[in-house]
Amino acid sequence: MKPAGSAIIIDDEKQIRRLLRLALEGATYQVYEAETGAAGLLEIVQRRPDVVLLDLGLPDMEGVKVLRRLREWSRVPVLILSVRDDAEEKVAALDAGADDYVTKQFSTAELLARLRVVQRRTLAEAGDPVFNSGALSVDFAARQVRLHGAEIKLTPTEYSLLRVLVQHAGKVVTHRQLLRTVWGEKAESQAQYLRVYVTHLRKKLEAASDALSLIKTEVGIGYRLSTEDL
Amino acid sequence: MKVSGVNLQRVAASPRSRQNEYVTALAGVAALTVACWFLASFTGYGAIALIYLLGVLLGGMVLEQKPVLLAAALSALTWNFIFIPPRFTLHIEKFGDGLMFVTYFVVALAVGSLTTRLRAREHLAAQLQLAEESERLRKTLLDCVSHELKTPVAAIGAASEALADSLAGTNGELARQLTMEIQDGSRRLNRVVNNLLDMNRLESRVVDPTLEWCDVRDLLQSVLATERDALDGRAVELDTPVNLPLVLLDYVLVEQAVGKLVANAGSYAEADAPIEVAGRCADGVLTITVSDRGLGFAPGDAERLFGKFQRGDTTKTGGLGLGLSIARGFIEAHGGKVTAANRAGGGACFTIAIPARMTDPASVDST
Repeated sequence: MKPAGSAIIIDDEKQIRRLLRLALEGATYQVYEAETGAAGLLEIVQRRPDVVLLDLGLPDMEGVKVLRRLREWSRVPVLILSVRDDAEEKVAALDAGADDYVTKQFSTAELLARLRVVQRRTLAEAGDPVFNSGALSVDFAARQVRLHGAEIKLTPTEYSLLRVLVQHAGKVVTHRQLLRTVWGEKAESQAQYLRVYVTHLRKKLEAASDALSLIKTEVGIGYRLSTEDL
Repeated sequence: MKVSGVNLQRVAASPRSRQNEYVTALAGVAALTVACWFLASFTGYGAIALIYLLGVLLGGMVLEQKPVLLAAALSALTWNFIFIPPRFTLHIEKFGDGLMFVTYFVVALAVGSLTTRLRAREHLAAQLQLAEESERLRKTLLDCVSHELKTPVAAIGAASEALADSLAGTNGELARQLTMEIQDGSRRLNRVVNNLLDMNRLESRVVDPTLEWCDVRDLLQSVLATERDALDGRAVELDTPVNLPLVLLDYVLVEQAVGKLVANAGSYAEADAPIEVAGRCADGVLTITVSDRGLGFAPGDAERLFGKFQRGDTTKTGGLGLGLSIARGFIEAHGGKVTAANRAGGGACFTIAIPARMTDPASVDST
């Protein structure tokens, strides 16, 4: 079996590290561990991993700080591990450059699916002109959206919104990221635009398909376009 | 809406101590008057005013505002009556003396009022600091307990699930069933820990809604996804009108409150009849109902259900009986209400009603 790549786990809880190691090694990852943010950063420099699993509650520095330092020089995919239900903390980490998160109440299948998605980003950056996942297909060049082969008419705003979600397919996109990309910097606090257009977009997509919502709500954080493997 | 645990209002003086303050003020003026009586022959009546003023200033540092103002007014009159010539009259002859009297009166009142106000402000600042410290301590403790409880529960859950997965397809059927039991146990434990922590948040009044525009249908769908385990395969009918407006709410709190009601319905409802969840907006009030076809509750029990550690008499499952109480707390933090009623034809219906701002569904253009 082809190895899935190397991963670094940065978490101060020994038990969680052990558990993650088991799950990841079972999926053929080469696993390294670090107990603190500082040690984690050092480990990333030395090992050049394919993915990083980062706990937000580290003893020596805030997870967000680790992320900021890391993002100064590296674009390695980062998956946040969070035991708290604090949405704000996750949003801060996502806005600071994390790629996605799992709560520590995770299931192995969910964890591995998330890892596959965040690792895929670097592969997809070549820029495929057409996106295909399940029933949904988006042709970026022609600005055309199809569901089960039937074209769906979207307004320009609805299309931009869908495009951002599609570009991050499978990954969570925060409210702020969506507002900034679709409506511009000034609209960051105008959450109601987002709700209105997500509602519109969902109605159009749902009307054309009997499947449950393609656009999943991540409570207090943002939205996620579900893909086949999630 | 954030309320800290410490009462920031100045503790109202008891009638007795208030009386004592007035007595102190009067006694102070009397004592100064006696002292000045002897001093006046050496210093002249002008310097007496400064001695009285010093008294008012000192009074301001220890007494409440009203007794100090009384002392200020009284000392002005006493000074005029006893010391300003002609003595033992309130009459003043010289224009300069009159000016001095009026100035003294104003300065004494201002000094009395300013010193007491300054002191009250210091007192308030000290109490605020105390409140902040106790709030910080409480939050640290809660975060710590929360982390220490949740981490092992998470580990048990994840490990047992992985174990169950790895046993699937093998002939270790008993082992697989046992690991499912562990998983169920950890889910239940997780729910209890979350409920206890939520209750603690509510009791220390740190539940502070962050309002944002919410899509109610989305919120209800999200509840049904989150509570999948509690629903245990029961059918749910979700009923919302097509043109439901956006509503200004704390999405997370309302989602959790509805979740508690749905989980509650899940544990009391008959397995074969669907649970009905409906959302409506009318006259600035969002109404969410969760109805089941269970046994309902005894008449007169509607309010008792929302108490802490209360469970219906018809209970089939365990649980601490905190869910409904938490749901009510989260909704009341929005200024809303949660009520329970028995349904015609059997079963219970829980209703959340929240007065909230809503968008006009027609006003949003589709460009």
